[in-house]
Amino acid sequence: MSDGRRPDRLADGAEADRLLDAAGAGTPTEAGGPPDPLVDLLAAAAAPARPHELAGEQAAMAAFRAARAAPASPARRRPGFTAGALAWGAGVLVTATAGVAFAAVTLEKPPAPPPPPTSVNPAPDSADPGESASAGGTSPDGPTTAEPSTSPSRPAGATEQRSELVGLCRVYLAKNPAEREKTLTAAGFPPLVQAAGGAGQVEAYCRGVVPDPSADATRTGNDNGQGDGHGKGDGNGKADGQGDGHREADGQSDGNGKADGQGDGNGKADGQGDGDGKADGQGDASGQGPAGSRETGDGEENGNGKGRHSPPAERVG
Amino acid sequence: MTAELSDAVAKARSGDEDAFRFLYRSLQPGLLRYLTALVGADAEDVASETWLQISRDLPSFTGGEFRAWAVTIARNRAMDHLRRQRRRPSLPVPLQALTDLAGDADTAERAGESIGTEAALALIATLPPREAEAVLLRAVIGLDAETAGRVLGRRAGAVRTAAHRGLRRLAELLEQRRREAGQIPAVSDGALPPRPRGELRRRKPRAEPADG
Repeated sequence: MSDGRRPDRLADGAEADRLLDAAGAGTPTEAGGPPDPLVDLLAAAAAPARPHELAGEQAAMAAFRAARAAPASPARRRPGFTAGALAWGAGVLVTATAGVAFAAVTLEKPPAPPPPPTSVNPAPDSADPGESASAGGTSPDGPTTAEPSTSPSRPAGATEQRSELVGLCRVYLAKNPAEREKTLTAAGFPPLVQAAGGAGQVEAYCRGVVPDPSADATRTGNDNGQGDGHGKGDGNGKADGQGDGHREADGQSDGNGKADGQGDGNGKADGQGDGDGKADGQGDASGQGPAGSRETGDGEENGNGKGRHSPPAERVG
Repeated sequence: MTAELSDAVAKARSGDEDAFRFLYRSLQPGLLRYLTALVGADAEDVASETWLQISRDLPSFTGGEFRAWAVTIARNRAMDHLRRQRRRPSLPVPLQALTDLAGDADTAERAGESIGTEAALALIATLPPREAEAVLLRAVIGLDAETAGRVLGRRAGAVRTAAHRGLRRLAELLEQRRREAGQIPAVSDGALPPRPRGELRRRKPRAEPADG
């Protein structure tokens, strides 16, 4: 066809400029002309925002608020380094060097853990966010007994704040391990440190809340012992969940041994999930089947544990 | 559009959250698409860093074209990211594959609405880096050649030339596809095969030399 779809119509450049301008201005349609693949392509490339492209909005808003709270100084490298931020930085430094999170706990130890992101907890019967999380501190170097907790100083809705935290976590986890500590001193991150219960806990906390397995490609931090054992006992059932997450180069392995001891009053369910998340962000933790007690089909895992969990739990009745 | 943006920038500088949200919604899609061409699957992370810096440095924004300022930050963050990646001794390939898989699944999931845009961007990303950047800054971010030149550290004429070449190349590619398919490929219907995605990744490092 010789209808102007030929490449050489762009030879003079003016037409090319016109197409680029039109696409950039969001008015790429050619009135009356024949369908032009190049125009279509530019229009598609400049199409209006699609929802997933705006997924980081909460994180951006959180960053904005935080930057407002600690206004930038003229110095360009370290804006936002006001006294408050400095205090935070000092706190972060203390906790980071100490390696434990007690400092933050003494500062503020807010209560309720934030509800997990909705995508992370698909179990229909555990829709309540207040599931008791007993972190299995089976590893010596990861005393993650501090539950993720929301900051009381922020009155914002828990859900909104949580998605902000998730956003901050994504930024944090995107960093090199070497840079992470520094990142936490940046404006905007104090809420995350606070929520995690201290700088030393941020990584573990973030791995727990960021649902995206793709975010882990470059992590090398190891936080052994970060196991979320979600023990959930209904009725009188006693349920122990132990999750043991060893991970290398991988975030996102919640040892999510979920044992629902649902059954008769004395049913005791021990769910043990041993998560060995080695670079594979998939797997099911299973606290499978109560031994002895009546199984109503609830002693099962949901796919929360991104680490490979083996062996599946065994229960003692 | 530009006046609206300037207004929002002024308000955001004085602390107006809604204005900042407006800025985010206006700029983020373009930034993300541009960044995807530069850093591939890590674009979202780099975009997050970009917004962190934008909100932090907003008070020091001294006027001018806000989009250019923002996209310059994004570009710098992307270059940092690529440098970091290069320093890191071994890129864990299996994990990368996993990421790709996830990305593909995502794409398939929302194929109905977005494959056209993905395909178009993927095709643009197959261009030589300079041309791809010029086309994206002009057509997707909406900068004029002078402003795009400032972002890229090149003269407006050079940007214009690169963009023209890029468009010609795209037109040829489309023409070629049309001939191969025996019919007109309807980009907006997602008729483009997903091949360019892989192409994009394989050629990703090529985006780097465009750093002027």
